[in-house]
Amino acid sequence: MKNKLNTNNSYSLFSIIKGGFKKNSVLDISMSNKTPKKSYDVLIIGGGGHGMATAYYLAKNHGITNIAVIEKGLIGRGNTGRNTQVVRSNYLWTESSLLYEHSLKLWNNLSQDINFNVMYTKRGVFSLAHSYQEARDVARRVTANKLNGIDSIYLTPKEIKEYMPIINISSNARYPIFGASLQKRGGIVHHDAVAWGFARRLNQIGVDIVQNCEVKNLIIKNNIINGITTDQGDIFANKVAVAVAGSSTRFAEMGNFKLPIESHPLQAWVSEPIKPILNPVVMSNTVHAYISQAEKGELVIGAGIDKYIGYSQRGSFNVIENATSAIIELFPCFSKVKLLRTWAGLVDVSPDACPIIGQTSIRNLYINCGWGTGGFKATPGSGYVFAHTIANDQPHILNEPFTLDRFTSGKLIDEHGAAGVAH
Amino acid sequence: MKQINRLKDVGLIDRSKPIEFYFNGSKLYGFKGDTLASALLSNGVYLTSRSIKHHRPRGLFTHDLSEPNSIMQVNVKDKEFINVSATDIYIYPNMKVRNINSWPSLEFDLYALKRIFSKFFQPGFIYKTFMWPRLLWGFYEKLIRKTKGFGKLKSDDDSLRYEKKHSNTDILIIGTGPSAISFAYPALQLGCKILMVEQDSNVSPTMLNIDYIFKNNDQKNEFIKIKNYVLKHSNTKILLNTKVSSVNDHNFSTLIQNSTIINDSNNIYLPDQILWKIRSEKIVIAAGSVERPMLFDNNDLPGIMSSNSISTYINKFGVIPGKNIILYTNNDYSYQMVFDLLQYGIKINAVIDVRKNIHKEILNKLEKNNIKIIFDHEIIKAFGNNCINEIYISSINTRKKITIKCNLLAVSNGFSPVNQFHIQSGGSLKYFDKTDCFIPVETKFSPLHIGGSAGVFDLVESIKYSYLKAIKMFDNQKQDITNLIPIKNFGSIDKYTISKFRSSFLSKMNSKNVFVDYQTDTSLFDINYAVKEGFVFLDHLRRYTLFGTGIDQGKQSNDNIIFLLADILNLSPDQIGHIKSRPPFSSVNFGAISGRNNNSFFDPIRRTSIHNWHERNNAIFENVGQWKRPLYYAKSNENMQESVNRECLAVRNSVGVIDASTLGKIEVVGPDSVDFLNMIYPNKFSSMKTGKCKYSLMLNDKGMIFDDGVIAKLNENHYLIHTTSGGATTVMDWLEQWLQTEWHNFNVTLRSVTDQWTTISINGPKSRILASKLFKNIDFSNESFSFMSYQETSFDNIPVRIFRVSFSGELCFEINVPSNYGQYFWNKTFELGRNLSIVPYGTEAMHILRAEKGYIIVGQDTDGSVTPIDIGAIKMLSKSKDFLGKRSLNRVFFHDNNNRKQLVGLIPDNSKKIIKDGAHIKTLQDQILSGDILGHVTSTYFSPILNKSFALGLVKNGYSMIDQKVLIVDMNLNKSYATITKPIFYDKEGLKQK
Amino acid sequence: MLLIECIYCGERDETEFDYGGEIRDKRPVDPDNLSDIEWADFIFSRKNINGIHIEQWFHSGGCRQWFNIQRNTYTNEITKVFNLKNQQIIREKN
Repeated sequence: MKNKLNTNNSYSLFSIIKGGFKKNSVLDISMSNKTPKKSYDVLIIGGGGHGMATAYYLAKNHGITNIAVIEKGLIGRGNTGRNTQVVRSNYLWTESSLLYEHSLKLWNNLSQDINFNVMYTKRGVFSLAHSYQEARDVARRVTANKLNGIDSIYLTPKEIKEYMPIINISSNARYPIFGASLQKRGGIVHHDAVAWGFARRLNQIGVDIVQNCEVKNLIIKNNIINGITTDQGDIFANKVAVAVAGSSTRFAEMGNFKLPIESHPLQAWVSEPIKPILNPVVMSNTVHAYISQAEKGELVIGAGIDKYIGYSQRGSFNVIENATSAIIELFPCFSKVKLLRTWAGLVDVSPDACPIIGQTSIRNLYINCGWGTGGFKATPGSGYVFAHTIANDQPHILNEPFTLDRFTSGKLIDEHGAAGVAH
Repeated sequence: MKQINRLKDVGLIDRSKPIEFYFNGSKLYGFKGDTLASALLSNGVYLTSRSIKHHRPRGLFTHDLSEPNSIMQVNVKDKEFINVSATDIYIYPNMKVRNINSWPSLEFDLYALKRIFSKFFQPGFIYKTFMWPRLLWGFYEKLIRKTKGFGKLKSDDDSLRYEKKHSNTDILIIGTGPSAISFAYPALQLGCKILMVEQDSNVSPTMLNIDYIFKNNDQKNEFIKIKNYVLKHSNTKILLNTKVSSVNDHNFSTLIQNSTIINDSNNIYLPDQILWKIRSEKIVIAAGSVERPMLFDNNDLPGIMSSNSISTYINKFGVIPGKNIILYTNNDYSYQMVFDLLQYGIKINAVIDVRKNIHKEILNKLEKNNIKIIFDHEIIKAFGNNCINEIYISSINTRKKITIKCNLLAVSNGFSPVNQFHIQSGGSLKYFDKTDCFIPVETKFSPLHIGGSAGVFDLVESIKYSYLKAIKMFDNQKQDITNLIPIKNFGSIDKYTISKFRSSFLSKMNSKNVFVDYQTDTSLFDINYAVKEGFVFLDHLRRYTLFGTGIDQGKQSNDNIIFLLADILNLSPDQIGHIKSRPPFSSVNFGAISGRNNNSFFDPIRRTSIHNWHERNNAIFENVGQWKRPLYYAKSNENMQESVNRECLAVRNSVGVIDASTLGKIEVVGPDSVDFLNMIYPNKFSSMKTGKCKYSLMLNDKGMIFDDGVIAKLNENHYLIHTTSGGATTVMDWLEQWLQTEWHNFNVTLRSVTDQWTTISINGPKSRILASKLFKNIDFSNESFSFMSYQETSFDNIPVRIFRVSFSGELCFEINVPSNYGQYFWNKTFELGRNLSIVPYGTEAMHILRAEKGYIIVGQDTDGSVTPIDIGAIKMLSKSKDFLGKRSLNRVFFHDNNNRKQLVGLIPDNSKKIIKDGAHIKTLQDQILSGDILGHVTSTYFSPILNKSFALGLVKNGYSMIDQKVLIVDMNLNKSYATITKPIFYDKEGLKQK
Repeated sequence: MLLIECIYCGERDETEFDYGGEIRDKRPVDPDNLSDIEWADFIFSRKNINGIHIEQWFHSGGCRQWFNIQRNTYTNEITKVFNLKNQQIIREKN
């Protein structure tokens, strides 16, 4: 593939040591904001992880570099910078599992591919079962995972405790733990690193990133997209791809098609940083919360969406109350830990908790949305298949089941169970 | 008792209550009313911590929750507090305190050796390396994690007790300072209820020097009068030691009370901390402002403190932490510290003011007291090891330099109004050049700001304009302000000034030693470097260098960095923007957020009226939603499998009784009941006769099964529908929604009667005999009481409803009695059934019995993606009327046998082995890891009556695969084989239940 | 935590209510005559408005009545409360 990769500015321990002796210069420019050209081959609307990953794979896999990523605010400051960093691929249905698994495999080498440490750490992801039926559901999912070639094991409460001594497995708990699934390759990735890593790589490749640029309208003639109108003027393009999560409906309106998504606040919060005490990521549908400990030491906690739709990126306090109680049920000693910061993202929830990736009724206009509460883990996979869809004007085999017309045919892929508590 | 920095007879501490405590193992002394910070300073302890990244020696910078440096681990009795600022906790006898983040000791920290490599540390270090070899990242990460994090958490339970309380008020005022008092004054006169929240242990904590803070006695006396009015008013409620945690939409606020004090009482009913939830008509922010530090080389040494903190240490605690005192400032307000000290006979050595002149009054006072003032100079470097001892200053004009000795340096680089609450509720800020700070832009949604929080730092101006702002607010609300008593004597304002100061010497300093955020150890070097790398937007810069992400949330440091960035990029502070603060304003224990809602209070427990009997009879319970249901009844000589087998056989051979009270029961009443039922169920109810029962599936409008149950026609226009135990609420809400939002024309009323009736379900060949014994007035013969029918009767005027249905596949009568009589009838049943070998059975036996008959359990054999066609109930779908789900099911996909999973039975080849839960089904020839998955097992058991294992499953094209063998793979990838059958294993003609 | 005004009970905390989504078109009286696309549109499409939004709420923890409110989904300001059956405005705030 042709790219303008400048390998002189690569990051490594050696270059850091070398750089330590050079005053007044930096190893590499990570980010630069560009003024948009008059036209491009491909415009990607949305400067989040998915949008930038799409640009990256368009360049890497399809040789397309005449691209601009158009971002209304700052790159990586939407859901990419707000999520709880969990990655895994242990979904229920084959169709979704394979897509997330492809993504997980891409995570494995992403740091080396883009020469930026995204800190993908295989902490292991636990999904707890608190009843017989939940245990059955977990067993079903573990079996399905294994048959799809995805690592997944079932653990008893005693076995769970070996991985995290502070968990409460007492049978006197209100909803005692019956067992759990564990995906060892699941874990966490540093979200900001993904945004910055992709931004730097795109900069090296020659892809323009345009920030603080809001799309006002789509330029459509004879049902074919010609470009966009922005607050920095018109930009023309052969193809336009939209990856804007909670703002997707606005683009559907501009393109005169409909979407089944609803945009909800999704809250997450962190504690003050403490010394390492919890290694894996732990999710529980029943007590309805999930938790991990970040590399810097803070506990990162999330729960479900706020039930009403909202674009404020603020949620209600009762969500935090309920999920915090849930966490204390699982880990009683965390009662002593202090809440440091709460925030919310804006997630686009689809009727079957699965994404919508594919063409629209407008020629050369592509949409990637509906990831709801589980989009971050799919970042490279989503970019990969979306790039394929854009380059070939048809879906990759992995996103074929996820086109918009499944709602018409009825071929929904219901991942509410495995997507579980907002993840 | 070495209180070397304590002044005699000064401060509000209680000298009659001395306290001993331990700091890093050394015994120290203080008094009740001391914070840990004031106590440490009084003992002459200046070195209190090591910085998080570079392990530089640090001391106390402030006196309150904005403290960036002194984070401690505290233990008192059995209570553990981690990540506590020394300024944010009051001492208690035998308190044990340790600083975090140094080893082996605070004074001698080996981690400080890291600084040898400081040349190579740059922002984003971790992203630029640790990538090779890939497989070692996990190992690197483990090591890196050990160096991060503040305090260490012990794994034992939290012994603190928390409570949540609610309150409403007209006006919530955050703060009890002069502007708050002044605002409350007219508000109370107009009859408002006021709640004032004060983080300190005293009201108006910045006015402890009230005797000399005013310029004339008239002002002082007027203020004291107003203050007494406000504090003593019956409509005023004040919460001390209470911090505001968050300000949210619709004027909902959360407060945390007593997080800084140790609960003294032995009263077990008193909580340690209280989380308040407040709803108010209006929120007023009178939280003051935060003093900003100065930037120079080594500006983080112990002994450098904010000037107004020094005022507090002397006025509140009687502590003066140094003898050689210098004030370094850019504004008139900070001189208050000088005058506070003079009141106690302490003269500072000198003032270094970056400006060329100061307010006349201040100048006069300084001259009168012979205090040296050095104008137009800036500090470029400080010296010292574990405490500051010298400063190196330079003339801004001539660049001539001098050295001055100093062991306590008070700094003031202007003030940042507390704006976090405003941002939390969605507000924005605007930069005000004259006072060099960001002011909140108020809208109709935002709180009101007064005093320091509005950027008004002058005391007189603050008092005057708070009053006027209150008046204006009431006037806008059309209240009568004409008769309000005004504030007297606060007319003219002789303003102090602040001069914006941006050192031009910064670029010549060793930028690695100029700290812009103490807590995160972010230096000027980090900022410059990151900007060069392209992180020019504030949000990106912040997350990359991590400034403002500490526990103190950058309260003093954020604005200095915004101004720096503005200078570097040649933009205005407004163009740079501001930090998006998020709740909480200051940290809150998770336990306080949870309150009492743990253990048995985590979720309400629902019990049937028979619960005590189940307990006495050794029922082992399972959670079904919020309900406790017996899973089985244990006997000492049996394991679970044996008990369950016994229960099953009893039902099949004689008689068993199960408490089915938890199933949902909803009465449907009204002339349009039939039309309503016809819409919500796929089968037709138009010709249903009174006294008949029908089983149906409940579908959503996408055609998916989400509940099921029996519907009985009790009378004309009076039906009773049953739901699953877990689905009762969902179904009730679902039905109400359709009736109220869509079918307004339906004259139908719904009544949830789940809790009103206890259901005693008698199953087995001998159930008829038992039922007849219970109710002698009913003819239970097949002719009189046929299968799927209903009769009612009464017993001693107690209404009784009897449904002849069957979930077990045996002859069955479900006796419904009002729950108050449930236990009575249950007892009677067992008494009368004694000679019939009556046995109680639980949900596990119930599951096996119904599975032997192929009856589904919604949520176990269905998963939200299963339609009636998939479970063989296509006949239930009426063709002659519309119903929810019908149109959705008329799509090709749902009739495509090859792609739909269909409910079938499975008989394993090895009849002794039960197929594992969750096992999947593949074609015989398939390899495990290739080829399609045909389906999965939904219910799998051992049948005691058939003496073999069996299962139900959903298999693609299952109907056409009857008698075919398939491959079963379980979650351990173990293989076995089974034959597909019709989904019924016992009594295939259903003779026993008819 | 939002403050929702129930048309019968008055202002209550959001936790007493369930959210019923945006107001939608009435369920078609003759669904069999709709194409698959038209039916999917009815079942799944959402306006998902950013701004002034009319939605349904259910006072599940109180009088168990449904009603409509007009809320700005960006600022959360609630400006109108309607009676569901006849869309009569019960309360209007400026």
